[in-house]
Amino acid sequence: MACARHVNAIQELVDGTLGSIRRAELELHLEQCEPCRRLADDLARIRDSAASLEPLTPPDRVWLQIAGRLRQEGRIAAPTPLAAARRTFMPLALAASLLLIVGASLYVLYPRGTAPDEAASAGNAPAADAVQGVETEFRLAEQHLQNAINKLQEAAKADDAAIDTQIASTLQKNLEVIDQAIAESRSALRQEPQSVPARDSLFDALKRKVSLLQDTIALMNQMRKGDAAGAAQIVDSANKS
Amino acid sequence: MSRMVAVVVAVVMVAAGAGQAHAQSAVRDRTVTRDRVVFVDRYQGRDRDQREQQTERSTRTLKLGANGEVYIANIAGHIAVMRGGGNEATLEIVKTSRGRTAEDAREMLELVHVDITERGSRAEIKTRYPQGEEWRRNNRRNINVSVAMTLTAPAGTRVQASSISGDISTRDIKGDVALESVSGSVRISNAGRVAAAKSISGSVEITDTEIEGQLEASSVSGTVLMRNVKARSLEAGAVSGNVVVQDVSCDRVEAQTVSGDVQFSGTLARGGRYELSSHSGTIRAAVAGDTGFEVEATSFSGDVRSDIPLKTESTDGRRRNRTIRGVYGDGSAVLDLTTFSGSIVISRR
Repeated sequence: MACARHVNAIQELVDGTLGSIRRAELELHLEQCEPCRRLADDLARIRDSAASLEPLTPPDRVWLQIAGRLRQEGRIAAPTPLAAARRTFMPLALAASLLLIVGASLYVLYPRGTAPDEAASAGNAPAADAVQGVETEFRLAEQHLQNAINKLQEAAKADDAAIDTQIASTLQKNLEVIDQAIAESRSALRQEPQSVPARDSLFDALKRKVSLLQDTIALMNQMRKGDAAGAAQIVDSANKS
Repeated sequence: MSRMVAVVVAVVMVAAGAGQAHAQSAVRDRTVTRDRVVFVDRYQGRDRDQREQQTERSTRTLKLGANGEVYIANIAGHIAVMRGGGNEATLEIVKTSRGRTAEDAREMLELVHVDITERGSRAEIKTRYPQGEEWRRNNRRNINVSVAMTLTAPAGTRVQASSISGDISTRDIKGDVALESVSGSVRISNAGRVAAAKSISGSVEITDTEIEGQLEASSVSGTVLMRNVKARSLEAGAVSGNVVVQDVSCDRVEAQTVSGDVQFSGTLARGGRYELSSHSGTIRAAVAGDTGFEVEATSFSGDVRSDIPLKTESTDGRRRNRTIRGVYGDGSAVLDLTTFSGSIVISRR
């Protein structure tokens, strides 16, 4: 996976907007870092492929959707009826173009959405290397999430006495629900490796498990920090009474 | 004690009737200090299981000001915060203990304290149970005491409240509200700002609320409900609980659960984005109003159905659809619906 702190600079490099000093620094880094080099190559290929595509006129709804996104991000205010009547589309279209370019980069990098083969066949990019890169990204992302889960599980097990039995049971049952979702998704991916719903489901479940384990540990800390010495017993007895 | 002006009244009322199953007695103390008035009522009786019950009710005035802050940490027992008039807040605390004998219940009641610290416009209220050596010294396996708190505070008060087994609620509070319960429910009504709304096994409900920013609510196994809410964006999540989103006005809605159902019903905002997902639960999107939308509904093994006629861009061509991509009206909003094995139903409300 590419180094997080260099991702923006790599995008700027590919867009041709990176200053000379930062460009020199980044090129030095790219010589030593294979994942970043691969990302830069992938993005350059996407840029070149996009440049060779026929001009495409997006349907009107796309502009409405982009306007909605810009409004959500606070970049434009919700239009008053008068302002809406007077508005011109030029600045919006420029902003939208920028958003589309940035969005396209993120879309490729973020492990969700179109399956690798679909991504390749949808554009004109030379497929094989890019697909390989994206699949590697998925595997690495999954591995990172799994590592995080393992570490969190160890931490949670080390101090599970801090939580009362009923809550511990609820958390355990829900972890099992997530584990089942992970197992089903993995099994589906073995049968249909290119399935987008199966892959999305796997990543959602992995992220959900990380989040639940983080919450569990936060709860343990809270109980330890507060009146934890007796809290678990108190809650136990309160629940039973 | 030098600040204490008087301990004024002690009234004893014996309300026990000869034939009554729930024999009760009550005592009231009123303590007036230079800056506060504390009332303490004590009741004694039996609960339905014929265990001896002791109740102590006290009232305390807090000088929070119009935009003060209150932090409440409780273990067992509910916390309710509601709007009151003026710049002062009134806290009512009800401690209830149950024991084998009246003496046992009284002893337990004495072991649990509510610490109240006021610093400027901030107040901290914490329930304190015996810890460590104190616990061992009292030689008890269980302390069966719950503490219920009701705070009436100015509307602009910021409230941070947590409880382990009690319900927490706020009503008509416009300051930042952050509520977290472990096994109790969380209810927020007519809020101005919501920083957190979380529970592990309880439900989380946010209703009749209009805020400027983002709203997040989650539960692990309880239902998350958002009804009549206006916010820029809204996130609701659960693991085995359901997520219900009704009549919200938001540019962006994300609702996720693993094994629960997701129900969305209401109008869509033009340019709004609605992402609903469940692994094995059903997603129901019941759309009201005339806003057009573009929909992509995908499931790995569940059925996907739209009762709304769409200009269909693609389906997967099977007898039972696994994917629908289509447009309704001007397509200005986006509906992104995903399940793994659950069904997806798009309908008109």
